Amino acid sequence: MSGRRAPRAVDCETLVIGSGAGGAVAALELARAGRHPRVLEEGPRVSPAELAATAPADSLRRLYRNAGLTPVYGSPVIPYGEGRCVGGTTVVNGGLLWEPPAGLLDRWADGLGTDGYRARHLAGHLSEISRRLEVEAQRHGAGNEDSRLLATAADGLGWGWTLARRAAPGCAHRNRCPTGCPSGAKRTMATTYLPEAERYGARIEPGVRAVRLEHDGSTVRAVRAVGPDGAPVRYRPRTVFLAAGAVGSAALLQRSGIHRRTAGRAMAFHVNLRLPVRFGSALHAERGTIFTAQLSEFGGLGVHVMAANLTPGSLAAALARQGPAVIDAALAGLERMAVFTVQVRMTGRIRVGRFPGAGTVLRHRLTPYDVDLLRFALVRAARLLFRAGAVELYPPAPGVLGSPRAAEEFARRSDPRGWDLVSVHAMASCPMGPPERGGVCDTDGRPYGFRNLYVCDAAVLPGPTGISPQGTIMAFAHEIAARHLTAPAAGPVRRHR
Amino acid sequence: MRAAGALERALSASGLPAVWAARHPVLRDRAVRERALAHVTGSLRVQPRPYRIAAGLALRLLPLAFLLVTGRWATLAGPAALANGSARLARLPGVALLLRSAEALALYGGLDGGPDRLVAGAGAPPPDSPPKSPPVPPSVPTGAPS
Repeated sequence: MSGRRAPRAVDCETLVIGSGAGGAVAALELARAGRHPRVLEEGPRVSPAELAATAPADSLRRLYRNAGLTPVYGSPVIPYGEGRCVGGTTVVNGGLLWEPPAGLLDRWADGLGTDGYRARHLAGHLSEISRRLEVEAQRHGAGNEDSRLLATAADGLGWGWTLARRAAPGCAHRNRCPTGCPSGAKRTMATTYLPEAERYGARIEPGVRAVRLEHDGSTVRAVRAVGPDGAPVRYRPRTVFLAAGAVGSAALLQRSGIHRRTAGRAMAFHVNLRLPVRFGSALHAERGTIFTAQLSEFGGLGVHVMAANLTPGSLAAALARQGPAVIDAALAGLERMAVFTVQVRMTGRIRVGRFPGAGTVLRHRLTPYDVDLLRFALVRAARLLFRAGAVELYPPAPGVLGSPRAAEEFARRSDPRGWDLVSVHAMASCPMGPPERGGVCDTDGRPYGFRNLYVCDAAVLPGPTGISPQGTIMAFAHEIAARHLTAPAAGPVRRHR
Repeated sequence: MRAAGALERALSASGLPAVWAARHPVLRDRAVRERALAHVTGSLRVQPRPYRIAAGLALRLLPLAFLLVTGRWATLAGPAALANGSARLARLPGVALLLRSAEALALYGGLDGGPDRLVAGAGAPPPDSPPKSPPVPPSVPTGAPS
């Protein structure tokens, strides 16, 4: 007799899979409409008080999928970091809330048919998001000299820069953004949308992993999941909102045999290259929050430069390739160090696949354009930072750069396919758009052919945003939820047993 | 628990902790080194099972690889030989990424694995409950980059 337990059956009106930026929006909108959503979240629920009592490294292992080390295979191997906790990546990001540029939304609408998602359609949602998350321009703290110098240098070069808009009113500059805000100032989904959704009747279920959608090709009948105790659970919802992240949503659709050939086939992503920098005088960057100013001059190319959180551990890890002598000197002179991030939108894509026994496997391929763009981005960032007063810059491969010319020479002879790159932004793995152009979802966010299944996270975006995508994700999720709630009733979805 | 102990044993047997201590003065402090090891094994522990197995195997093979490239066991090598040997080991295909990643994890965990050493001013105490909704502020002009 098999020892396998029969799954516990749970009937529900609506089911939201994932509690990040998209899932939390769906949860709140559905709850306010009286739909009593259940929200499944694979990771734990962690309070600001717990974050305050936990060392950053411990939080990193607990709050990120695979401790932030999900490999994207290719040249180079790129670690991909995404949150895996109630609130998702909003718990571990910098709290930046950029509104999607009108031009980007128009290009998507004109090229991919996502009319109804232009700036004027999303304006109301974006206003609500800003209000709920108390988004405001981040004020400089005592430890944001790195950002001040960036802004001053940009002015000197005649380059555009932007004040950071963050959902972190009253930021206490604890400098722990990537491992969870210990002061509670950062407005994550865990501290805003989700508690409010619970007040309206939503139920959050941490530690529950959705493994397969049972369906008949047009209707999701059930969602098989594994509970916190490892016991199987079979949810039977009338409607499902899928928001498991760009990787997770695509992988779940693939496992479930839904658009297996297109879901996850061409996921867009940004990469970051970290540039540790030594200045001639003290900055005390470790005393400031993530950044207050961002270089936007090359935003049209999807290139942005900004300061990153500086801690002894993150600095040493970023310099690991430079050798012990450099690391020791940097730690000894920490007050003069800063780390800058150069974020670059790639034209290459990541393929989300499966390998027997290994689960989800990610593979990327940088295009020749991407390789050139990375070189371009490094050279421009170096010019900016030396103008800001840098005396030494450490590139993402062995070497020390002492001038803009050295950076140009480095970029010319070095192959970015061997650089240390990381990624924290992936999107458009199940994009909204025409099927003949790789689209997986219609303009209501439903995978083609399905009546009661919606995708409402980064996966559904039509393409790469080129900016931190949280604002865009949330605006799309609001619109998708609103369309569902205002659609004429199509008749009850027969609940299958 | 068994898997957790196996990773700790594999890491200890690999010789890497001794290499790290030889290369980085900051990892010679016992408390820092323990945090470093905890972060490395803790990070490996949350990887998918095939990666955990592969990492454990790679760690157990490292002493043999060290012997092949240096002619001596890592456990018998002095600090200079350890540092030199690990540099030679890193030239082997595929080994550089493993060594670099493990070392980066060790440095991060050792240095950021303890209580906050740098507290920025008098931060607000963590709230016990989510903040209440504020009054609606005036509209904020978009700051999105063009």
